[in-house]
Order: sequence, then C-alpha cells, then structure tokens
Amino acid sequence: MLRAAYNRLEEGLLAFILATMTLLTFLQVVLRYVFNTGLLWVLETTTYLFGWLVLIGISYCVRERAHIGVDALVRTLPPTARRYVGLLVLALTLLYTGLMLYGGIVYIDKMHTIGVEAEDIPMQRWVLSLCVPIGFALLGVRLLEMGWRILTGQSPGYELADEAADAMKEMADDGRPDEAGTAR
Amino acid sequence: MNTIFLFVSLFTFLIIGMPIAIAVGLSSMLTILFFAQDSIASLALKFFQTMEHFTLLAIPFFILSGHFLTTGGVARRMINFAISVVGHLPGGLAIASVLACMFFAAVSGSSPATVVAIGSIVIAGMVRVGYTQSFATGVIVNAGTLGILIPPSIVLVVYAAATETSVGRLFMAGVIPGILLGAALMTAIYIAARIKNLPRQPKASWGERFRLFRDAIWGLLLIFIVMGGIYGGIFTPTEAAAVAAVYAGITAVFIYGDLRLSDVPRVLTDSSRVSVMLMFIIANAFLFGHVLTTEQIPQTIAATLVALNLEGWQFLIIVNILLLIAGNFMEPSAIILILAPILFPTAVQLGIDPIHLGIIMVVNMEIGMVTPPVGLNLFVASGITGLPLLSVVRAALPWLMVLLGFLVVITYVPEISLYLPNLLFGTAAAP
Repeated sequence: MLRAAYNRLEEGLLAFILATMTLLTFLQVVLRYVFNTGLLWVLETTTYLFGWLVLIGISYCVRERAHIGVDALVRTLPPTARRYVGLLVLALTLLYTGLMLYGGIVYIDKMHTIGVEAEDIPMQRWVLSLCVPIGFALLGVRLLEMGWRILTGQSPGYELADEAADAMKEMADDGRPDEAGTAR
Repeated sequence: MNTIFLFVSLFTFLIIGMPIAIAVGLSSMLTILFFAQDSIASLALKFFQTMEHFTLLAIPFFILSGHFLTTGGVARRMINFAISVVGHLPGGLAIASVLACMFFAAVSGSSPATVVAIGSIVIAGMVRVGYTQSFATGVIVNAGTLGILIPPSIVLVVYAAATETSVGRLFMAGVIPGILLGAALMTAIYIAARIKNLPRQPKASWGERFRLFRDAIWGLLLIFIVMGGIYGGIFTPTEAAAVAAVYAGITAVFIYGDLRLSDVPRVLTDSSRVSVMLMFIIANAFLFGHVLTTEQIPQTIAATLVALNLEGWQFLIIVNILLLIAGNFMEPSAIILILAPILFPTAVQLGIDPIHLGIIMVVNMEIGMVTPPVGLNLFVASGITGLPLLSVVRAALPWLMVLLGFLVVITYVPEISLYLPNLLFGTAAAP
C-alpha cells in the first residue's frame, strides 16, 4: 500500500520535473524572441532540476530494470554460479553507492558549513544539492531489495534491462492508458 | 599500473554483468582512491556537475520529443508521403521505407526508435506485396541506423559534450553523410530490385503526393525548426530540443490527436526513464574522463602513437577497427564517452578535424548497431518481426556491406562531413 503510493509519487515527480524543465527552457526562448526579455533564474533552476531528475531517477530505473549492461556471458552460467555472480555484482554496486553517498554527505556538510548561496536563486546551495545523498540513499534501498530477490531466488541474478523488449513494450503501450506501476 | 588497473577493473565489472554506468563509475572511483589524492566528496561533486552541462540538457528534451513522435501518427504519415514519392520505382516500397527512415531520423535522435517507428509499419506492408521477410527486415535494420547520423542525434550530442566541440557544427556535418548513406541504400535496393524483379507500387498523381505531403507536414516541419533554428542562431541546440519537445507534444495531442492529454504523463515518465538511464552512464563516464585526464592517459597514448610516426590514415584505420570491435559489445553513448577523450588528442595532433572524427565515430556506431552480439537494431527488428535473431543477422548482412563501404568513404573523404559546417559557420580552428 505504502509502497504503491511511493511508486506513484516517484513517477509523478519525475514526470513533473521533466515537464517543468522543458517548459522553462521553451519559455526562455519565447521570452527572448517575442518579448525581447529573459528570466535570470531559469537557467540555474533548469540545471538543478536536471540534477534532481537524474539522481531521483537512478533508483527508479533500478525498479524499472532500465539500467543496461552486458549480460551475454552471465546468462550462460549455471543457475547457482549465476546467483553468486549476481550477489558479487550487487555487493560491488552497493560499494559504489556507499562511496557516493558518503561523498555526497561530506560535500553537503561542507557546503552547509560555508553557507554559499546559489547564483541566481535565493536558496542555499547545500539545500539544492541534497539530491546527491537522497538519490544514492534511495539507490541503496532499491539495491538491497534486489539483493533480497536474488537471495530468495525470485531473481536469477542482477536485474539488467532487456533493451529490445523495452523498445517493443514502449511501442505497444503507446496510445493506451497508463498502466505503469501496477502491471509490472 | 594505474592505467592497467583502470581498464582491467572496468572490463571485469562489465563482463560479470554490472550495469555499464556503475562499472564505469566504480572502476574510476577505485583508481582515484588507490592512486590519486582526490577526496570522495570531490568525486560526488564531479558526478553532480555533469548535470550542469547545458549541452547535455538537450538529451532529455530530444528523448521527450522522440517519444511524442513515435506514437505512430507522425511516422505513418511520413511513410505514406514517402511511398507516394518513390513507390513506383522497382523495389519502390523498400526504397520508400529508407526515405521514411531518413525523414524520421531527421526528427528523432535514436536508431532503435527509428527502427521501431518505421519498421513496425513497413515490414508487414512489404511482406504483403511480395517481398521476403528477410529482405524487408534487412533493409529496415540498416536504414534505421540513420537515426544517429542524420541530426538531431543523441550520440552526436554526447560526442560534443565529451570533446567540447560544437553541437551545431556536428549536426550540420551529419546532414550530407546521412543523405548519402540513404541514397546508397536506395541505390543498392534499386539494383537488387532490377535483378530480383521486385514489385512496384502504382504511381501516385501529383495531387495525391501533395495531399499526403500536407498530411505529413506537421512532422516534417520539425526538421526545419530544429536545423533552421540552430543554423539561424535563433536558439542553441539545447533550446532547439526543448522547442522540438513542446512542438512534438502539441502536434501529437492537439493537431493529429493520436495521443490523449491523459497519456502525456506516461510519455513524460517513459522519457525520464530513458534520459536518466543515459545520463547515469554519462555522469559516470565523466568521472572516467576525469581519471584519464588526471592520469594523463590520453596524452601518453597520443605520444606513443605520434612517436610511431603514424600517418593520419593509418591512425584512422586503427580507430575504425577499435570502434567496430567496441561497437559489437556496448552502447554507442558509452563507447563515445570512453573512447572519444582517448582518441581525441592523437587525432588533433595528426591534423584530423574533431568534427570529422565525430562523424567517423558515429558511422562506426551505426555498424555496431547491426552486428551481433549487442546490435540493438537486430534485437528490436527480431522483436517486431518475430524472426529469430540469427535470421535477422543474415538478413542484415548484404546491406551491412553498404554501410562498411560507406564507412571507408566517410573516413577518407573528410570533405563530405566538413563541407556543410564549414560553408555555414566558416572554417574555424580546431578547439
């Protein structure tokens, strides 16, 4: 229940951020050519939104199995070996996530201590950069969930994207009502 | 030692099935932690700063506009128009499919998207009028690669960001090669059609052509908005991408009505998913690039190659072989991000134009998309036709020869790539 609500929130947030970025950039062009003016805060806002989009989205992509990799070799392994390799990969990705999370926290802490403001937005830079630790913390949670699935045998190994199937599915989905989040 | 560690760990991580993004990022992080003085916080910052590249902002916008256009309506109207123009020639439907791929490539930045958008409609159509399925599939798999050569192109945006070259110039540089490759494929089909006596379509009247052109105009206009806007200095490539996304959304929802307003949030989530996946690779590849720079690896390679007294053309053979091998295993954007910074300094020293190098790399990536084991277009085509992968590989093979021949021409006749950007923007010194 809670999880479903969170999933919806995640999707909605990503869609909202992308729409805002697009419309802001579009607005900037219109303002410049039609009204011969511009808004100072738009560029910086868009880049920070981009940062939030990507960092919030990384964990979402783990859930959606959107991250691509080369699994041609791993697929040929016998199930037990494949599971161990999957767990090894998972441990290494967790190491990566942990390092990034730690680095993000140290960075935020430094920014907080110095107290720098953003250039064109009246906000502290550390607040705007909070997406780094938040994003990697969420990634860690999603990876642990996947680890559970590998351990309990629900997944044969590290869950990578099946790109061709995705391209297909996107085509089949087009023009149909939203079914993401419930059907998968 | 550090170089060896970097590459060995990268390849090990990739082979055991780690996501490309994390494999690239983790190998770079470990190299820095073991061999350099940078703090982890500075790495996290470096990662985050990737999103401050205004050029890269074009990627989510182009993906969004592509998603709006793939809804079927735009592609279908382009196909109908293309058939009315060239359908009466021998092998007309196949030739029209290539033309439709060129149209679609000119509004979309990705190859698999082009294969799906055009292929899912025309392959069945070709089979219905008497083409073999393998002929139809082979044509589409190869023509679909035009998606990343004819601008806009996501792969060219990535190359521009990795080497700090101009996106506008790169886009213009892709125009003539894109049209030439399309023409080469059409000629090959025409010859095959004459030999095999392939069917023609009834010739369309000029009135019919005009009607279908009017019907397709809203999609085709996007070509002029993007290219005209960038060339005319009306907006930057990133702004052009945002304008294209808004325009494509309005066309799909309000003009053609193929998409309901309630479908838009789903298009947005789908686009953000693809954008994030790519950007995660790109941000990690920037960490990789940072390691390369701090460890002076590209300079070392450049010095070694220059000391060998390599000629430009010999270097380009090495580049082509390296890229063709890499293209068989990995996604184009990731390859460009890893190899472009390594090859770039040598190329510049040997007097190869960076814009020309970009086009060479993209044509190599096109070939990678139609060769196993990781040729994305092959998988997509196998998915939409139901043909086994191996049959698709065999079907693509004859047309792949056209691509390979084209690669040689593009590599050794730089003017094909450089004529248009130099004409429009003037000859600029290499950055």
